[in-house]
Amino acid sequence: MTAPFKIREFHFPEDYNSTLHLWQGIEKGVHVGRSDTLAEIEKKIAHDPDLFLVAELDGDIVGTVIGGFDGRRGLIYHLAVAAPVRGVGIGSHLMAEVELRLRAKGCLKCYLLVTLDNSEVGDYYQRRGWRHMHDIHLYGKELQ
Amino acid sequence: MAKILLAEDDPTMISLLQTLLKMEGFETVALDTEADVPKAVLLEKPDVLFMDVHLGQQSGMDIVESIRKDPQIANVRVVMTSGLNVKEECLQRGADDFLLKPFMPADLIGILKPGAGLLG
Repeated sequence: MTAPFKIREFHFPEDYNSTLHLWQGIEKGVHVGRSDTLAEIEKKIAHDPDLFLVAELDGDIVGTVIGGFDGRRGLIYHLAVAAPVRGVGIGSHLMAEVELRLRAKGCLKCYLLVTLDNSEVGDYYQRRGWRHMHDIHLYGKELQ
Repeated sequence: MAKILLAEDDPTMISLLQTLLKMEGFETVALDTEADVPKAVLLEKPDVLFMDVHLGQQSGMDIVESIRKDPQIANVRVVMTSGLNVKEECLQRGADDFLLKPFMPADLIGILKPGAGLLG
């Protein structure tokens, strides 16, 4: 029996409001910021639309993941699943789909960021083959 | 539910494929690289054997050839995969289909569904 939910690419702009609503309802781990405005999402979609995936259940968006690939490394952002439908494999399916898509683009290595308030998800990622990188410091800079 | 036997030497790929295929309604059984693949086909009776051309020290092409010579398992559908485009050689050696790596998930599902024919 196939999963009751469907994984598909994000449709811009019609999926924007429900996706934003989902992100805003995630209790921790997904910080909605200036990169999540309609204009910024449009920019993202123009770059690699096939790496922004949503899970749809009965017409509602109940999960998301955003992948990015700059030609050297991949990044995963905003893995989110609505609380009432967690535990049925939606996150795993989203991650498998985006990781296979990144591989198909030639991506050799991928990173994801876990916020400090959400460190308990470490086990989730480690069970899926992700390794906590103790040997690097992450730096950020606002360019605009 | 169609059963897919996975003979692939990349554990990360195995893990991703198992997750994806399970959600797409397939049953999966993964073999390790040292496995006796023809014996596993006989025991597991999969609808499809999805096999890497390079399987550790084993050659997927030799394996598919031996499968076709064994009347007990000769009819299993075999889809082979590789990062090199060796489709013609795979088909000549007995594979039913070939998928060039890296592939998109939809391409894999598309190639597995028609032959398996048990979904939905």
